[in-house]
Amino acid sequence: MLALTKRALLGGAFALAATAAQAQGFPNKPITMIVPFAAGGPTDLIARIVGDHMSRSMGQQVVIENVAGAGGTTGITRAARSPADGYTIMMGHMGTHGAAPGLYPQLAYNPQTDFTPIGLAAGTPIVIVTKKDFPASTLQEFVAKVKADGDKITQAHAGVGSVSHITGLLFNQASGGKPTSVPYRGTGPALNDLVAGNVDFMADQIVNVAEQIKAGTVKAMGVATAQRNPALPNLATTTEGGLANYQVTAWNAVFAPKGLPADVTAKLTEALTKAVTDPVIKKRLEDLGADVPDAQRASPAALATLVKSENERWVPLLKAANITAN
Amino acid sequence: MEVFANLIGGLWVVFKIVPVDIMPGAGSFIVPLPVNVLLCLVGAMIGTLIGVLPGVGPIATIAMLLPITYKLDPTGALIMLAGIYYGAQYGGSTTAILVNIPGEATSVVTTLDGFQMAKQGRAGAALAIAAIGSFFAGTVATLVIAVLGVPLTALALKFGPADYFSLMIMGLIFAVALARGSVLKALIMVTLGLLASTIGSDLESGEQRLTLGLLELSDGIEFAVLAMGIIGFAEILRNLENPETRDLVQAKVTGLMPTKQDFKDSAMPIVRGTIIGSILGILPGNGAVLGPFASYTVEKKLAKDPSRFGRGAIEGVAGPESANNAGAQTAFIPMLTLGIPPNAVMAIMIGAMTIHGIVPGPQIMQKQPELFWGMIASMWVGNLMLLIINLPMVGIWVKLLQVPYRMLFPAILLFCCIGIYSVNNQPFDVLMTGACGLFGYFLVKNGFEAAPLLIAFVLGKLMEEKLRQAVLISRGSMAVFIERPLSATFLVVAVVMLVFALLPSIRKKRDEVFTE
Amino acid sequence: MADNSEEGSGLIKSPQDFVGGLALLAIAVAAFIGLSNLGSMRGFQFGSGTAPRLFCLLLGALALLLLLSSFTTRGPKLESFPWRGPLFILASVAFFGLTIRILGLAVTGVITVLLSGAAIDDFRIKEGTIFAIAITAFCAFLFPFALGQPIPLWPTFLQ
Repeated sequence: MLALTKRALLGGAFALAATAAQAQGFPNKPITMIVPFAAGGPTDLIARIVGDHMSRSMGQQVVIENVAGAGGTTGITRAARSPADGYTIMMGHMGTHGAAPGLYPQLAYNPQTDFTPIGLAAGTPIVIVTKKDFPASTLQEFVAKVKADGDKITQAHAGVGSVSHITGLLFNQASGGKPTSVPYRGTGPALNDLVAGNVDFMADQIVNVAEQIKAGTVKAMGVATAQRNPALPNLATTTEGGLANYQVTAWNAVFAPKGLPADVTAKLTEALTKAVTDPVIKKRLEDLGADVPDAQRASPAALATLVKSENERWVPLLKAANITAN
Repeated sequence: MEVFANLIGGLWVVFKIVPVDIMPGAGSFIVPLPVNVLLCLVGAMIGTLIGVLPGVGPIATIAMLLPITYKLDPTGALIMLAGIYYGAQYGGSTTAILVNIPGEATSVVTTLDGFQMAKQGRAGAALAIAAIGSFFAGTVATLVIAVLGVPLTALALKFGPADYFSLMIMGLIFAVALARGSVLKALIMVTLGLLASTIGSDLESGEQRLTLGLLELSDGIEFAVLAMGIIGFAEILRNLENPETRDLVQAKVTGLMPTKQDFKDSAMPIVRGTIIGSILGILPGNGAVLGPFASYTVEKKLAKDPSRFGRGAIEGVAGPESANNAGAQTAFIPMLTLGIPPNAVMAIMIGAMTIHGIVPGPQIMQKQPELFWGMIASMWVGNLMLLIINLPMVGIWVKLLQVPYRMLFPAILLFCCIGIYSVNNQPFDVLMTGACGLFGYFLVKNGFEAAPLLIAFVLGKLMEEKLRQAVLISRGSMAVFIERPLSATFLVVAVVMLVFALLPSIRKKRDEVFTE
Repeated sequence: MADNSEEGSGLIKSPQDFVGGLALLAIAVAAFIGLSNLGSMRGFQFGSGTAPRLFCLLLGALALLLLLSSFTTRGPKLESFPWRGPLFILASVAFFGLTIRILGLAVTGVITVLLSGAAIDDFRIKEGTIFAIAITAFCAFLFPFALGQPIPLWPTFLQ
């Protein structure tokens, strides 16, 4: 700390040289990773597990800073405006970098142009769960019932813009059903009413519902991925259930502000890839039901492509549903 | 009997003596230590020390201390977390009593009489009674969880949105009863609190309601921001007005421990508070928040002289504090048996468990019995630690009040700013607290009380959500509120209580004209 | 009607209730206007404006009732509003909020404590400064170091 102050006092020109030198010895001080959600949620968990490994492999602490608010966009806005020196990075998310442009017309950043992609961290696939006595046992039966009963079917979600909300809308688009939407403040209360049988179904991240499914307090109709999930190997995929166009994972990925020097990007990507391919970390994440990418899917180029395709998927859907958050 | 065998098994986990290398690296030095119980003690200690900082509420305390537990094994980590949790809760009550700054909804009630007691030089008695009441409540609640946890889960699931809505209506009536002055003004504060609770994005459409175009308000106002501003900062502003009242707090500190009379007065409120808190705590929809209010209302109604309440009645500390701790404990039931967090603190606890590879769910009891019972036993041990740490510390806290106010308040202010900032790392929250402080000062100056506003604010969010859900699920039928037995019962109680609240106030109003 | 008590006199018998009622009525009206473009009930689906508008109407009605009662029921007089306390306290809180991310805790903390300390008449600059530095040092040790909180410690331009 003392060294930093001293160096800065020596003036601008020297500071400039120091910045150049910084890239060489990157990282030489702690890195802040902004997590745009409150502590304890799935994104925070993944950030902490991955961040801990990155700290060890880079020899500098990765400090998690939770900046919650406005569906994660507050934290991402701040991170986007931070200096592009690699010392401020962020855990972006399907919501903040995929759906946000469709939810927030006045969004202060562009997910495709305002960031330097570092790489995909891990995602949690979406599962369609119903109350335990819902009269359907396969996805086909469920879709047929939802279509037949129209707004008599109730669909819970965790509030506007939440993962369960937007992936639920996507489900309705794919299945052609028009259920009554019942909003809750957070996943907990929504899941509670689903377990109690007060509402019929919801779409949610596997990490939130896996234990309930195993205990039989709710019934799972299908997991929205191409392959079955190792945490719930008996659960059929949506493709098996005849709804192949409903594939969605709440992905989390590391970004930095735009204009990050290439060598710094490379170092961060390397540390991230090391973390997600480490067998211990991979197992821990997979035990939670997470989908952990291989080195190829974790690359910056693959992430840039993902952001683009996600924007193309969510923005028209949310515009059509006439949902705006400001 | 199986339950007691399990509890003893749990206690064994907590008190287990493990050989520990206390000098790793510098040659081995292995000592047998009861590691888990020490972790619990350390957790309760630092939880109290951080939680006592004004402006750092229990949620912030737990979030800050969480990373310390990451390096431990899962059982040790959870036991330490339990210690931190109770420490943070008790630390928050201490701040409410000493400097009138509530860190969370439940300690709003404690400020009412606790701070008045402190002003009268009886902070020691208030703190000690809070600790003793909490310990009693914690002990009973531990047994409730152990014996009735599983059957109570089934009961909790019987609560649908309509029942919650009616429960919240009943809660609002409690809020009116908290006021010591005019009922009309209390009702105004309640409606203002309800209105304030609607600020933010609409849950379904995302439309911005009363956010003045500020993105920072799209999630609504943070409770800690509102409470610290409207009660805490307003209190500081009020104290600055004239030097005489400012120094009143330190003037006369009488006796650190409660007197015989205090114990006599507090015994029944502690028992009643424990029962009320335990019952409300098991509701998965954060029913625990109602416990202290309900207890306060009950004590005020039962008291021979209700006018003592709000002016330093020890029953007004003993009952709500016991209810608070009992609820804080039975709130673990929905989390442990359903895997569903009933409030923000429990959500953090679930996150912490998940980091250790334990995902709480309906099966945790069968799959990891030693962890489950260890955790339950550690709750009781945590409460015991709290009593052991805090009774001797009462003297230190009371000493703190003797710091001259001209030094005390700038320090309080800085802690508040840092505490509020660190909840979301948002500078906006700090500015907002300042604005709430000015508004709270205006309210106080014109004879409005803040407690009903804050309670209505907490209940309002839940109320609108539950009302919407109930109406959507019943497809537009309002009859659900009277058709469902639970809901109907709450509504009847609410009406009866409202009548009781209004009757004496009409008489009182006449008296006030002559006394003031 | 002349009134010679300690309470309100003249037409307004309870000045506190009058001012309070008026202010809250104004809040209710302003909020109601602010809510005008929000949706209302669609079938049995609640609109975004349904609940807040209901609360607004209730608040307005109750505030009006209080306002009217201030003409009939006697109540305490208005208290004086000192300016020094609120001004310095608000200035210090605002200063903290506006500069914490730029100046860092080390600088912002000291100035916040000094500014708030100046809220009382018998503020002592020397004692105050020493105390401000001490308490800031304590916070700097506790939050960023001991607890690892991501609070900026030093000014950004020094890094």
